[in-house]
Amino acid sequence: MNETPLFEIHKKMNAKFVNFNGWIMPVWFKDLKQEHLHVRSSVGIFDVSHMGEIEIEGADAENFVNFTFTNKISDLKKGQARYGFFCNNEGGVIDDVIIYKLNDLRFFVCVNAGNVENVFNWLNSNSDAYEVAIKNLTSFYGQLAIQGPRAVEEVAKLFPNSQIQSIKKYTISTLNELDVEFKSKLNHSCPNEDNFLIARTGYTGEDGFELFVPNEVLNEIYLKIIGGIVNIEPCGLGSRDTLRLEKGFPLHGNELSEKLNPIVANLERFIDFSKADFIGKVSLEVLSKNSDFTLIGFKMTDKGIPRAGYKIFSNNNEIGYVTSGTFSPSLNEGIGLGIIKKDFSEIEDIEVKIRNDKKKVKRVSYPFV
Amino acid sequence: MSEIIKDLKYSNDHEWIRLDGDHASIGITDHAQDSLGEIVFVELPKVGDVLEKSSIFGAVESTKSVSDLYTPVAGTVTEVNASVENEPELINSSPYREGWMIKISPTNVADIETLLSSEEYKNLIDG
Repeated sequence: MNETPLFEIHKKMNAKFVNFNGWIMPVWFKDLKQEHLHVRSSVGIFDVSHMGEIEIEGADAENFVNFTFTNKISDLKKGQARYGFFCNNEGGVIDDVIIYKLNDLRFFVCVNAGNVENVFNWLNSNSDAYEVAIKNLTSFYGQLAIQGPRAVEEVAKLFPNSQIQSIKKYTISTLNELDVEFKSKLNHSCPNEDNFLIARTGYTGEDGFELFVPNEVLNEIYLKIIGGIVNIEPCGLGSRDTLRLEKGFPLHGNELSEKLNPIVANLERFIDFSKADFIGKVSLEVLSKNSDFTLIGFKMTDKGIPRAGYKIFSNNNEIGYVTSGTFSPSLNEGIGLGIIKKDFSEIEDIEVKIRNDKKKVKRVSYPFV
Repeated sequence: MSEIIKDLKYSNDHEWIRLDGDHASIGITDHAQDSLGEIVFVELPKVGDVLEKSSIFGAVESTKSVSDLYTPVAGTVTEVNASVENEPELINSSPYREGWMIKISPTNVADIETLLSSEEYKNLIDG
């Protein structure tokens, strides 16, 4: 089992832990709901060091990213980021990622924890015709997500010389103060010297930042942040999941997978079909015209909480299954996403089988909040 | 530290059972509620349901997860705690008292003796 550098600190903070993709991670500290609501109304911090970081560098870096990534890349300026997919030839999603353009020759990719090896091997196996170096920097970088409506002002107060407010949404920059304070302490510098990165991105639907900083000094940086921001709540993966689900964000392994394509998940807007070519394009074009399944959002009408894997029915016909479900801390009711047969996509009243009983749910659009 | 009540009997599945005359009340332990986190939903059987030993009689759900409830000894449901259905958080705040879940009439009262003592249950969760 992998643990992040913050494991011992989190143990002392009485975190509850959970195994997530081979990592032992805090699932909550005191109370999941409280952490969730605090991120919606104030500011919370998540250790997401289990996430992977891969860098693509070289003369052909942009061409290579353009060929492997579904979304447009050619219009990105230095520091800009874009969400999209690495798809296989069938259009299935190897991973959903954010790609940051560090400069014309370097792209930085944030990868889901369980997919790092897969993505790294897949990128390498497709890179023969390109002059690129693909580096797995996952063991070098830890990652902290600071999220919530107070995040920007508080991080700006903590790092007054870094012009935090000028870091626009979906861009990445360097955190000068951390560089000055911690660089000399590093035994192993990042191969590209980008040791302290800060991106205005996240997975909660709230404003905030993700910091990519060396694992070696993650403890000190974490303590500096939780000590320096008044009333910041340490949060676990439990609230990270409920926060993303309320916003209708997909989770790889649930709404997306190598068997599930972005068309089914209603994420076609992150595919740029105007590009000359990219892996999976042909299949995705076919799917976009003719897909038998679609992702829907729903709320419970009857009592109960939907969970991933539960079956969805319409008039005794099994029409699909729940991909993610929870009890929404903001709404105080059961919410879910599910994949159903497209023929039934206009039907409002459907049922979810919870244990032995079918429970009424109603179709709603998402985000739920 | 999780609270363990001395005079109760316990199951390996973290339920407690309290015999009171011909009836026995059942709930989940302090350790169980603490592991689950804030309980937001509970599903319980109906009065009159006949429960086999080790069968699933209901479920408790936190935001994060679902846990089945297992019948510690066979019996017939005589009462269901409507309060915890309406306020599942009672199971967190008072797992051994207000947070009780069902009462049963055990098929064989002596079965209760075969369950874990408070000492044995303590060893189970400390182990």
